[in-house]
Amino acid sequence: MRRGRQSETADLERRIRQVLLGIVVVVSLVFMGLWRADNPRLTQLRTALIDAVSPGFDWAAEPVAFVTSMLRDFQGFIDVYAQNRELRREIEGLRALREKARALEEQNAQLAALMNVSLAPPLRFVTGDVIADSGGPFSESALVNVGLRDGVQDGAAAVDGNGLVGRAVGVGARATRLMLVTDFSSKVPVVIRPSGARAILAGDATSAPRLDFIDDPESVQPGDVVETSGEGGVFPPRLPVGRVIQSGGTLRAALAADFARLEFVRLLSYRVESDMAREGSVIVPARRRALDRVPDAQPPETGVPAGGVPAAGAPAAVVPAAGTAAAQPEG
Amino acid sequence: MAGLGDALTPAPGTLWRVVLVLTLGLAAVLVEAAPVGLTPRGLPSPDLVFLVVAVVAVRRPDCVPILPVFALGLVRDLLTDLPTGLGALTLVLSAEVLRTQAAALARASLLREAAIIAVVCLVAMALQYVLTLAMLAQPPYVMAVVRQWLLTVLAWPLVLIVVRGIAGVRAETADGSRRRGA
Repeated sequence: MRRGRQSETADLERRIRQVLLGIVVVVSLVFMGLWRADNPRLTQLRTALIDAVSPGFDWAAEPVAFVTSMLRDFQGFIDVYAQNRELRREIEGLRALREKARALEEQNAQLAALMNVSLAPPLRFVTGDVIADSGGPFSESALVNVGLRDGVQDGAAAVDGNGLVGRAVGVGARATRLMLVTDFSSKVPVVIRPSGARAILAGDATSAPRLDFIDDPESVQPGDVVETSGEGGVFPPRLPVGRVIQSGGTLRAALAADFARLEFVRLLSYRVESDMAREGSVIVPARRRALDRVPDAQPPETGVPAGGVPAAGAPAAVVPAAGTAAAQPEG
Repeated sequence: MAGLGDALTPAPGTLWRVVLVLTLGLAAVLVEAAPVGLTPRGLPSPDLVFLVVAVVAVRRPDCVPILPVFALGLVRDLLTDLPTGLGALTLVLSAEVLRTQAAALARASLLREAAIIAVVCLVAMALQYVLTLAMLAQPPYVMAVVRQWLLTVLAWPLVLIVVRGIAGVRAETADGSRRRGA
């Protein structure tokens, strides 16, 4: 009798599990659909959860960062002699460059004064600590412990001391998710100097993203400097990205940012002042257009260079972020 | 209805273990996401959440209920940027498969347990890959998935020691005897 009741309970338990499993499968598929459709509510849920858990990330990241830095220091200790020689050689080269840069800066200021060039105001930025990465092979992203309350804007460009790192794709009150330029979904409009050729930096989960759609591939040489072009209005122009390399017949950009030691990033505050609406619309008389205009129109995703973006070879009318790495010298 | 009550009410002492397992799972998410260099070709984190659930599922199948495991998977997906729902679904399915193997594994050697967990992990990762393709999303490189699988298999003994030490889950056979070393 007791055994019969036990088997009845086990049978019922099995059925309940089957029903629950069915529900879980359906709910998972719904979530996957919402994820694929970039549902804003899912993004809100994600940022709210990240906000709630971000102190936990700090707690877990501390010991891991400590061990990692200890290992790095140990590695540095082993090759300290070679590093010292390398640094001395580098200092010699930099001394010569410093004198040259001073002379050029002076000349540039004189020419700018002669040409009456108005420089854009320096960019403001917020510095944050990298507290988490995606961990898995599905995406290249990171979490930073600054958010809306620190003045981070959605879509803000992220740089380290050397160059572009990525952009903010979800901003919570206390934490921000960054999509790194190495992510499959990352596409950044860039300009290659000195040729001035435009291209798209397309992330493909490698440390050197591809340079797609180069408008004049013949003019581009390995070693050329890659900078953001500012097209699209998401990234400020002239942020250093890296240098062109050729790998297996494909032109790629060896990134200037040091992803292996990324501990802090700066999130730039940048908005293009533009009258362009997000979607194309009928051109109407000026009076009606003034009435119809949306007060805080978002900057366009694509289109012609927005206000403040210099054409290739034009005088440097926009300076890079104050305190960030200066734009790499041309040539 | 007494039968339904029996089926839904966890055995005494199980509830706190479920909470403990979920806490360990959340800690695993935080460790998994800790930044250890963000280079794309750097070492990926092992799937620690899977390992925590797997270690418990083969020892104490009653301590990995479907809905809490699903919630844990969902939280992991949202925090670590995995396609939402994908990691949670494969985590629940893996736990269910390992639960069915629990009785058979109770008397088996640790090596056999490691082999079965490695196979289930590989199938789960392959399922994630196929479902990503089915969603017309960009799947990761196969080599990146294989490297993560290898690291997960290598991390299993460590997770086993930690989970056994903290949650105290030990395999019990039908006659009440315990497997050596388990």
